Amino acid sequence: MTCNMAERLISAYIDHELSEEDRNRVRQHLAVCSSCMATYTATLEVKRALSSMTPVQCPECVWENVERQVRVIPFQRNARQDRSARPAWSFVKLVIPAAVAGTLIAIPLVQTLFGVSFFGTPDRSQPPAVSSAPSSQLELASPNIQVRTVGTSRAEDVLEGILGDDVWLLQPVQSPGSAARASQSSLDLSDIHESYFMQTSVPGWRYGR
Amino acid sequence: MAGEWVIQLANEYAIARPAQPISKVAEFESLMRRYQNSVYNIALRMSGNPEEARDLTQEAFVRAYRAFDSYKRGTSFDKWLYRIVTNLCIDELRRRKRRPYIESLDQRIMTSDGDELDREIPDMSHNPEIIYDREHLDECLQDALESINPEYRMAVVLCDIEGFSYEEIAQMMGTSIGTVRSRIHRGRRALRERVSPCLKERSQEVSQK
Repeated sequence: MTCNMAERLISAYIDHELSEEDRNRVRQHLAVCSSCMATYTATLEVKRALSSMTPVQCPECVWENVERQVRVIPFQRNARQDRSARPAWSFVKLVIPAAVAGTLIAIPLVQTLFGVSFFGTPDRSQPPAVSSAPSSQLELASPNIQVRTVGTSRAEDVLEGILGDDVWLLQPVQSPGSAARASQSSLDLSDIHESYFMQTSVPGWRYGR
Repeated sequence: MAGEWVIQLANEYAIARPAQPISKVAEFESLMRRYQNSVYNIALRMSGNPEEARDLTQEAFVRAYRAFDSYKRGTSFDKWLYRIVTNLCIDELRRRKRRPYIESLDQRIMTSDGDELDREIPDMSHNPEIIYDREHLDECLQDALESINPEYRMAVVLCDIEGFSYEEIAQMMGTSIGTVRSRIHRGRRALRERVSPCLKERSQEVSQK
């Protein structure tokens, strides 16, 4: 074995990462080569010095900062997912109104022309899903939400977040950074692009899958 | 029309969703608390700067949380995590190389409370008894680590400070065992040249005492 070859294997020799055959070859070379033996000793010293470097403690604040960020990640992830789904959404936005309009025009025409009745007596016992809320407002669940500020988001992003898998309740604020009114229990969606909301969590509800 | 549909869906998802039995955040927090010192240690040895190490640690855990769904339960969490840490640290150090971190010794220190403090620079030149103590050797090793290629540095840190095998390091760094062996060999060779003077002086100091 040449010195050049031995020198390249010394680190792996120290770390016990050589085959038995290579290990024996390096050992035999070191026994007869003072230069490579000096390299071996110096390398071993470096490894030992690094291994005995004083361990450090992670600052306590790290988890708080990570937690603050992971709490808002659902929005980012879902926003990305929704962006990737936008071509399909655009298609739905065009096709559904067209289909509804077509149906609304076709039904009276068919009824008039052929004397057919499509509907029985309307059943009014089941209220609609968003019963008392005006179309520009979203009712929130509990008036006693424990508000836990984790940041503000645009309404558009917030809705994308809600439609994902993660649990969020929302409180409206005037602008990013301003205090929320905890008593307010609806979101004004009159201008979805300009409204800001404070994200809140619900006591007893759990995050995760 | 679309707005009402979104509101209705948002209402159902955000308000009527039941509690989740397992908390993803709680599970992640438990794992993070177990490994945060080790991750911070790697980040500090890689960056040489406590503030940057804290930021890297936070960012690594945020990335890990984002990818947490892809982590297979029951497999080794630390190796999965260190792969993220490894990629992040090397990317960040490459980026920093293009935009070097410069801090003036005349600049006042900003505390987390917003206060400013004068920087106290210890004058070690007239105190030979503490020059070669543990702290000084750590400093010498840290300076030497920062002077070598980030890939070599990471391989050496994972091997000598964290105690991983070449195979484990290869998995974390996404490379072959041969490449790990080469990186450790080259890294230690460069370190040997820079650290040997410190080690020699230290051993002379110890023998004189």
